[in-house]
Amino acid sequence: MRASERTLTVIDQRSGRTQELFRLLVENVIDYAIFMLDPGGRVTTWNPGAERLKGYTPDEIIGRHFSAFYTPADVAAGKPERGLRTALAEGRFEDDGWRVRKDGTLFWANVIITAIHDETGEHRGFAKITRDLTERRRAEGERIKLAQAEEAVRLRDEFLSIAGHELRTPLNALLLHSANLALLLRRGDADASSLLDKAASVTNQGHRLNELIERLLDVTRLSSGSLPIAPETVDLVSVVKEVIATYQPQAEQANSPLRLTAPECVSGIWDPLRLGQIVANLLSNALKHGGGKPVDLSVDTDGAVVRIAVRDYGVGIPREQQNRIFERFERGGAPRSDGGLGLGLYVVRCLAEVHHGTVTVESDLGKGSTFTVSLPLGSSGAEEGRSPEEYNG
Amino acid sequence: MTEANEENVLIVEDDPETAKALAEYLNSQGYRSMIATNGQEAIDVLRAGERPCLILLDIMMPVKNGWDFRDEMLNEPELASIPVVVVTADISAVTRAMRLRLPLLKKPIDPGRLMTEVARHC
Repeated sequence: MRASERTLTVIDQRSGRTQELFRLLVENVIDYAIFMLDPGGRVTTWNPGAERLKGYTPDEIIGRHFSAFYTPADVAAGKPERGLRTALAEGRFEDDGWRVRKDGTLFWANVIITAIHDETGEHRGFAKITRDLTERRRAEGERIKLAQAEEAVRLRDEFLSIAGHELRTPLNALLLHSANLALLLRRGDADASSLLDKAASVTNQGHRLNELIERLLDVTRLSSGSLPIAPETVDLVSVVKEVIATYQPQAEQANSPLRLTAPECVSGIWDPLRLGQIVANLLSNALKHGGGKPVDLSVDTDGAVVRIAVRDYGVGIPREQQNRIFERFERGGAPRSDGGLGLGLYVVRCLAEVHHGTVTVESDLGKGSTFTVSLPLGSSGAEEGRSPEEYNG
Repeated sequence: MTEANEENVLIVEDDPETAKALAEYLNSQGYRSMIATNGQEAIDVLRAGERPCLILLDIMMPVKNGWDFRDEMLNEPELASIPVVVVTADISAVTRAMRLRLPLLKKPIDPGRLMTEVARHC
């Protein structure tokens, strides 16, 4: 035998061994379905992994179109053909999705389709590798659910701790004032006006405590849908002006002028108390996070819907937190020490919703936030510019 | 530099009503006091030369909380030795205060215990 012939024989043997190894590899893999499709998408080979995953024996499936593995909806949407087209155009196609077993059950599959060409460049078909990720997907789903539940518990615990702190603050002041009052009375040398002053402080803190408890109860009532709503004909602009007047001292302290742009009067059917609460919560937030800059309030209407906007020029809210801030207990990254219960915007949302309205936020970090509440004027068709008296008449 | 006043208690408290009530109570008991509404204001007051006989320190405050104030205080040798009593409604503060060996008064404040602490230092 000549040297070159010997070499050829060795190569043949090697190539034969390699082919044998590949066959063994494919036939022994049971965690992956590995099979071939002809250029038209019909199954031409079938490994034990494919049989285990999809339930077909080679006799049952070879020669059939691979769309048998797809749900009717996916077949109707042309998904199998699209996979082949992409694989042919780009070399490969990868997809995660539901696939159908022989017995009709579904499994969550990761699928890779690779276009196969021979050495002359002719398209010979497709290699398809499928993995069953159902269990992994389920575990992932469970993990996410668990994390969400843990987050809800964490938020509730943080809320309880903050609520406790917030309730103790006026209680603490109240007890100190009353201790002080007792001290002055015991000593017997204080004049009536300073005693009255201390008594007033005790009463004020009692009211403050009561207001906090009312707010907490509101949240419970809102969550259970049992908040009493008493709609009547109201001029929204007057309500906004009243709230502004209440917050004037706080605005001066925060160095934030309050500016209002509004028509003379916008009448509608709302609960005036709750309307005031909406505006107060938004204004209080704007002062808290407004960084000592002006706060702009505006009221405008198209005759069917009224929009109340409260705009600050403060820190703003990161985009990823903007859709969470209206949830219960959510503080949107506000520090624990900001004196809030983390309920204000949740209450605004609920109160807007009981009035068949909405609340939205637009915010840029470092530039400030605009909260807009949109409320229908009410079923009775109240109009802009008419005073409540006129409307009632 | 302001004259050091041995009778002055520094109240570091963000809630104005609580601060006012504390100040009035101390005043009725014959102690002078001043108020800082957060940790930063308090550190500014100390850096300006005030040397209170005692600092009543709230923890949860905006701008600078009580712990951060305490850390900064300890970094300045002149301020480190001023006595501090933590006054808080935050239960989780108890362990931290113990670890830092700081006396702690829980809100609502017991006036008797408050005066014991004040009398010890002022």
